[in-house]
Parts: sequence; C-alpha cells; structure tokens
Amino acid sequence: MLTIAGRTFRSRLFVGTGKFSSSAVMREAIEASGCEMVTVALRRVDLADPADDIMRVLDRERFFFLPNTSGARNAEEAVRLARLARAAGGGHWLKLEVTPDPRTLLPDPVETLRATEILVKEGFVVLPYINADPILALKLQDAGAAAVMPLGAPIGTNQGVLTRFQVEIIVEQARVPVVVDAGIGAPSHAALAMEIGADAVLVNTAIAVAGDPVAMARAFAEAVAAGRRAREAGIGRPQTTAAASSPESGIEFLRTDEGGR
Amino acid sequence: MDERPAIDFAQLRRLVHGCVAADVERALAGAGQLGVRDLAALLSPAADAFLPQMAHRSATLTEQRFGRTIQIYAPLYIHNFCVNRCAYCGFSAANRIERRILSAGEVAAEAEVLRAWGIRHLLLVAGEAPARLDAERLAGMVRILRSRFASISVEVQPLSVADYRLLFAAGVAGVTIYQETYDPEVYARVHEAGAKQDYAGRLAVPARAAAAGMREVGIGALLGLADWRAEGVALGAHLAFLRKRFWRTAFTVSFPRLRPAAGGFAPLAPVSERDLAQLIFALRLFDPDVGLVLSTREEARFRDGMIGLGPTRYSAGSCTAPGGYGHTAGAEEQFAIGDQRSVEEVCRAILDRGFDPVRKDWDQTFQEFESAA
Amino acid sequence: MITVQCNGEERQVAENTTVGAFIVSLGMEPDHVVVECDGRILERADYEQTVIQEGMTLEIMRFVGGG
Repeated sequence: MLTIAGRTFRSRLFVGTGKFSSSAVMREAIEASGCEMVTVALRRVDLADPADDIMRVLDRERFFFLPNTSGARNAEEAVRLARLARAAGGGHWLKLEVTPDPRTLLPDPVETLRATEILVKEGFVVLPYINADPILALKLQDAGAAAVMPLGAPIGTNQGVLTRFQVEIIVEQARVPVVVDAGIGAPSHAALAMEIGADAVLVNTAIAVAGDPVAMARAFAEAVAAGRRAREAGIGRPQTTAAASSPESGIEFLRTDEGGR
Repeated sequence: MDERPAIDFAQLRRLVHGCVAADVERALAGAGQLGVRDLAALLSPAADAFLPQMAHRSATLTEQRFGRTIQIYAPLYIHNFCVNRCAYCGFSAANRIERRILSAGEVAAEAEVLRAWGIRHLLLVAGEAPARLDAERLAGMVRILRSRFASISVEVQPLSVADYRLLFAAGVAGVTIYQETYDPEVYARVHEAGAKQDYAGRLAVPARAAAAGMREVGIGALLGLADWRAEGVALGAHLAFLRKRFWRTAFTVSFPRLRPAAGGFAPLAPVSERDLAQLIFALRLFDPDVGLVLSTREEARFRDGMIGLGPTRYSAGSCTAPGGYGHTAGAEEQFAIGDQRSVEEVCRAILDRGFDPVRKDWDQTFQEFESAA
Repeated sequence: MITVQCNGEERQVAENTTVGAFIVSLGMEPDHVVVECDGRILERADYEQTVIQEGMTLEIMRFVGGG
C-alpha cells in the first residue's frame, strides 16, 4: 500500500477534477477510477452560479481532497492559496504548484523550493509539482516535502513520460513517494510510469476529455494496477546481445584457495 | 536524522545462503536499481557459477561510470598508538611493539616523499588514540599539507560532527571509517577492549562524517573475520542507507583482506581471491556509482588482473608504519604489504592495460575552506 | 443598506448582517467556502461574529475542479 505522510492509499491512481463536461460525468468517472485521492483547485465563487459546488458532488469521506495552488506565480501567492485552502476545509495537505509561465505552465523550481520551506514550517503536508529534476527532488525532500510530483511532460500535452530517464533517477534516490503528474495521455503512459517505479500517478485531462471518461477512468485504473504489479514482479532488462558468457574469460587469474595467507 | 541502518546480520546470513540460481538469474536480468535481495543473490554460493557474467557486467558498468581510469592514492601513517585491543590489528594496545608519533614536520617530510613519487591523493592514517592526535592537531597538519596535495582524506578514530566540520574546514575532503565486521557477535569477540567495542556507536560514524559535509566517505569490512557473503550484504545495506540520506556525499567501499600482523592473528573465516572478486562485482552491480578500493594488501598479480573489472581506486607504494617512507625510524607496521611495487610501477601496470592512472582528480583548491585560509 | 465589494462586484447588504448570513443569502453553504475579509482570512468560527461594514472587500472562494 502507498503511504504518504502516514496516510495509506490502496489506489495508486490520483485523479484531477478539472475539465470534465459536467459534475455528473466527473463523479461517475472518479468512482470508476477507484481512486481515493482527488485534486481540487481554489477559486473565487461565481456569484451567478452559487450551487456549482464540488463539495456537494464528491463525498469527502470517500475521496480525500488534495487542494492545489494552481494559479500561483510565485512562492507568496502559493502560500496565500495554501492558507486559504486550509481555511476552506481542505485540511493541511497541499499539491504545491507554482507556474509563472502561462503558456507552458511549467513549474518554477526556485519558487517551489522556497514555498515548500515556508509551508512545511506552517505544518502543511506538501506535495510539490516539479519538473523532473532529480536534484530539486532531493532538495525538496530535504526541505520536508511529503512526496514529489515530477511531470512526465508539460501539463495537458498527452505526451507520456518524456522525462523517463530523470524520473528513474528520482525514483532511485527518493526517500519519499514519487507521483508522476502531468503529461500522461494514455493508460500505457501510466503503466510505464508505474513500471519504472513511480509510487502513483495523477491523471486529469486524459480522463476528463476522453470520448467516454468513465471507461477511460477504468482503463487507467487497470493500467496503474498492471504497471505496479509488473514493477513488483521484476521486469527484465533489455539486452543488446544474447547473453554471451565465454566461461571464465577474463577472470582466470583468480585463485580459489584461501589466498595463501 | 537517524545515523545507522538496521542490520540483522543473522538474517542477512540466512538470506544470502538461501539464494538459488534462479535468484541470481533474476538479479542479473532485472531492470533498474538492484535491491538488497538482489545483492544477496549475487553474493550467494549459487552466484559462483555466474562469476564470468558478473565480471563482464561489472566491467561494463565501471567503464560507463568511471571510464578507463584508476585513481591512485597512498596512506601516510601519523602514529601507531591505540587505545583499542583489536585481535586482528598490529597496532592493538595488547601488542608490545615500538610506538611512534610523527611531529607535524615529520608528517610533512613523509608527505614530500610521497609527493615526489607523484602521489596527489593522500590518506592520513592513525591508530585510535585521541590523547595523542585529536581533531585540532590533525587539522593543523592538514593545513600544512593541503597546498601540496590535490585531496587529503583521514582514517583515524571516530569523531563528532563538529570535529569532522573542523577537519573539513581545514581541507579534509574525505573520511574513511570501517565497521570492520557487521557481525555483532564476531565484533564483540575481536574487539577485546577500548572505545571501539561499541558496535552500534561505530555504525553511526560514517553518517556523522557525511552530515558534516565531507565530499567522500569510505566504509568497509575487514574480510576474514565473519561470513564474507553476509558481510557484503551488510555493506550494501549500509551503503544504500547512507546514499538515501546524504546525496551530496560520494561513497567508497573497501574490502581489506586480513594480512599477517603483529600479534599473529589468523583469519577466522578465510576469503579467497575468487570470493573477493565476487564481492567486488556484486557491489558494482548493486551500486554502479560507488568507488571501490583495492589496496596494496593484495598482491600485484591479483590487482593487475582486476584492473577494469570493478575497482576504481588503488593505493600504491604504501608503507603502513609511521615514518616508513623516509626510513627515519623502525616503528611497527599495521599489516604486511602484498603489492610491493613502487608508485611508478603500479602506474605503468595500469597504463599497460589501457587504463589511465589518475593521480589528481579533485583539487581541494576548489573546496571552500575556513575564511581565514 | 450598506455597500460592499464582493468577488469584484458591488453588493447591497442590510446593516448588521453577519458574514455567515450573507453567505447563506447568496445561496452557498458556509462550510464549503473560505472568506477573505479586507485581505485577511476569516476563520469559519468567526463567520457569525463578523458583521459586514460599509466599504468592506469580501472574497469568497471554494474548491472547484482542478488537476
């Protein structure tokens, strides 16, 4: 089971709640995904539509809310959004995202590290969204991040785990769980992320904008479970040549007696 | 932060002796990072049949990560006093030997001999006798030597984080500290008296050195004391533990095989060259980035044969008696040398095999010293 | 009646209205929102004690779908 900051999750698929065509589709897809954690954003209420309330749609007993700081462009804005999310009843967990570039929405490493340091001191459980930078992941871990969330590809691009090599390094080095976030466009991408050792994946766009979001949510659940099972089973290393083992070549000099000592 | 790994030696021994050929095949075929279980498989008796494959893979990984190079260093023994009674060591307090401590000037003179031989990576070694050589005094010696060497490491008694920081600021780049054996029963038996009797205390020392900011920390086990296979798994577990916590520090592992020493200690559990080679290959497969040290305890023939197969660092020209390089006095050595060749001869042997003997890698000029430097 | 700024719009509010009552009057559940009052986060426990004053700036926020 996956454990983050002492809380356990049976499902290793986290689902984002944005971009769905309707609340009803969102709820059905999330239920089909089997996920236990969903991400939410914090926004000004549209006074013309006061009943559009996600907390009426999703049962918080069943789905753990992970508020994000989307929209924050620097550490100060992220900290403000984090405090608001906590006051809004979001608990003290947080998906920290700081994205100053509105075009790519790529995360700012310097501001993210700074915000993490502040928020950890304020008692938040911080899960920072980062570019797949292994050193940044280690520094965030040292700063007290509860997990790291490297991107597979820029958000919404459906490109898959383009950062595979760096994610593999992050997985090797991390003491905290690694959640691949952003860029996952198809169940095969999610399975790959799990096969290379991610502890979980976060998917939003690929489910929300699928032709049939409910069926796609189920497909992601199966892919994540399959990828995890394969990781645990032990995946063979690709070989460039057939296993050539000319017997004892290169090591014939080794003595097998006790070294004559 | 916790300082020591949880190591259940008896359990590791059962694990390593319970592995079968299929476990070894799985470890060899696996993608990604190997776990402690894979390491156990590679160290098991069942892995002996796979030694050529392990050697091949170890050679490939070593070349990828380190290129065709071998780093060269030499130890400089400052003194052979010791408060501990360790059954295997020539410096044991129980031994009636001639004891000597070099003055700062004598240390500098010894260092100049090594420098003239081309040595630029220096390992300062001393018995464990804090009253003779404390961190402050050691730091003073390092300050004198540091402009003459590319890097200086120390292998002395365990120190506090504050003392390690002091040494780092004085110009020490690395700390070597061996557990000697990870088997607590054997540990208790061979450490007959002295501060070193504290197994758990010693296990925490490498983490302290890393926490103090050392660029490099070396761990090791003395082969010949306990079951070498389980010892290897424990070394790997300790290494993995340190890596996860101190990612800014580079780590090295040494596998000194017991050599004849004053006191006439015979190895309790002898280890063959083939065994040692298996240990080196297994650790390389387990951790492609770790530095692996092969000292002059080993014979020239074995050291030459191992070039390119996994080790990354060789000592050369070593003398293990304080004052031994300048032949100024006949103090007792710690152990007998297996490879008696000069630095020049060792370097030539490395070149002959198509590898570059690197005498100067890191230069501590780049290290941020105390501002007074 | 007094005038306040709420989520960027001018709103008329009866005198002596609490923040809690104001939220309900807008058709929202107080437990589901967070209110910033003149730039300061209002604790939920204070909604019933805080009386809206002329010229106050209120920001009412809540969770929405997001990734």
